[in-house]
Amino acid sequence: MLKKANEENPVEIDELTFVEVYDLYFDQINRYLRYRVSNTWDADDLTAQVFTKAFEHFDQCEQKDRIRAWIFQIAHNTYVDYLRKRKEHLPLDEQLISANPDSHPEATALAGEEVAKLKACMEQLSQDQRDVVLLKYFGDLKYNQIADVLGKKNNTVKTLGFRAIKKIRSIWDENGR
Amino acid sequence: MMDKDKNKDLGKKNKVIFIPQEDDELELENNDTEIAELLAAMRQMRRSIPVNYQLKADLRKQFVEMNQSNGKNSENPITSPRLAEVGRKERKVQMFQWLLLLVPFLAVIGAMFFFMSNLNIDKINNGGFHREEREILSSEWGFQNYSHSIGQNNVIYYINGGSLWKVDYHGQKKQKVFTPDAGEVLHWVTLAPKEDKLALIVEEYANYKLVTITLADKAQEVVYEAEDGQVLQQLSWAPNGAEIAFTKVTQDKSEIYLVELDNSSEIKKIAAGISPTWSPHGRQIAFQKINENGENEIWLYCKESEKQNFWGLGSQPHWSSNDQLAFIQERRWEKVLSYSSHGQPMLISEQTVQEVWAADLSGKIKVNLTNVPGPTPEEEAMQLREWERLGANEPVVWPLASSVADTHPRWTPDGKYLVIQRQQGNGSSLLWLKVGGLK
Repeated sequence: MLKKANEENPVEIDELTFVEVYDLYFDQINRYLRYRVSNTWDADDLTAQVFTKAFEHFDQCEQKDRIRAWIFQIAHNTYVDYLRKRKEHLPLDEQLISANPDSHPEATALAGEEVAKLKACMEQLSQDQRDVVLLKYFGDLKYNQIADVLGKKNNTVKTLGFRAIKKIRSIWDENGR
Repeated sequence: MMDKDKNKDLGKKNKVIFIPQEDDELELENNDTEIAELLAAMRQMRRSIPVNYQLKADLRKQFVEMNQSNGKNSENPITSPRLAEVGRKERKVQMFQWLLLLVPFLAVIGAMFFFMSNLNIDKINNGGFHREEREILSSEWGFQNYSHSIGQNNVIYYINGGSLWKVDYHGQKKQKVFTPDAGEVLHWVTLAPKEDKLALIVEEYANYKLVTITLADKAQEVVYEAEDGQVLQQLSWAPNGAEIAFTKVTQDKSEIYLVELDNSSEIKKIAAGISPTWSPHGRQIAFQKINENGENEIWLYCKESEKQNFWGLGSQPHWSSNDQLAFIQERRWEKVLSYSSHGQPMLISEQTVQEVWAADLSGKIKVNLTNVPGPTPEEEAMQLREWERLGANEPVVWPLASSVADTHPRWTPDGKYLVIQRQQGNGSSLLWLKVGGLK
């Protein structure tokens, strides 16, 4: 019987079935893509594409610490392909972010406020910086994993991330809390 | 870990950019409260984005099924509901595009059908119908009444030179079937429905009799003998094989009679007229009458009610197996060849021809199958010269003899072709006509 895998108790990759990997990462991938793509239908389509590709090439992923990066790499590439086809700059969907039926209305309102602020900060970043920040804080990837996903050098990714954080902080401070 | 304070006394140019190592990341976050709050906001932002759990369940189900069936099946890609919907919409758009292409094409086809149907009803009656004809046999020895009768198996029976002959549909394999006794002349022939016998009108020194001949052994049987001065003509064998209709001409009247083969002592008169032809079901007989104006008319006699109904103008009808009538109809040309100085017609050329027509039983659709041409310019010129030579100074209607006369149309058993007799010049021929335009 396979052990139940979750984020707190990672299991060796060779013990995970694809369905278990799917259960582990679906929420993150879906949120990541829904954040990046304004149209929820397109985001869901991309999510399906990501896991379809993952399903087809699951046998090729053998390293246990690579599964998260591997999935997000597929997600990022899928998103880039989508962008290339659409050729659009996709703003953050504020309503999408703040829509959380389970949250307290007041919390929702507060969350919406900060989210809006964060949105404004994120839009000031360059595309590369935004990619790094989102992969790090949506995908919980480490810098070396982000480097693999984006196809950049480790130090480059770190620099991008660090500068992104600094910029967000400065904008955040300027706008007040 | 490098201390950020090292940058404190350095100029901008020499500022060291602190790049945290992996292990430093968490420590950095914990030590910098502002970043920590920022990151908390980010995580809150992440959590606030709703997940499509329906999609998650649907996709999961598909993956599980695929795993259970044959593991990974890359030939059955997973599609999201949205993609499926997009696919359906794209297919609808494609269908719409095909319809846009198809509609003009269908409109053209519909217009062609509409045109052709109107053509069949309205324009064919005026002639110009494209027909096919082929000569089966011919004779240059004057007028011949072949009195032909057509069988199923590629055979036509006809009379020629007083004897009974048969030939195939292509005019080949001519064979004499029956030669009458000396002094006897054969005039009319009709084939029995079972094609085992023939009925003939035999004349022997102006005495006419109706005789049947068994084809197998040539055994003869006299069915009916006419009285002196009576002429028997135009036979038609009933579809049930039990009766024969024929014309009996007596001095000044022509009448149609029925004779039962099992009881040939009595004959029954059914109508005044000539040229009887049975309907394929045997309930009616079409025949020819002449009205008060001297015009030929076709009438239908109902056996059960013994009533007659007018069908239309024409003569020598023959009823096909698919309820079509072939008949002869006259067509008359009239043309003014010369006028007086005051504009009064002086010479009117006239010609009447006989043509074969086919029609449906209602008579609404009629097709001219032979379309005999009118007088040629040479004939008209010759007529005009002759008239001038005679020096006539009063208006004259001058009939021209028809160079072509089509008679005796007979349907093939399948109702698709006609075999007719044509008199042209000094010769006679049997012609094969393809019938079309009625359906």
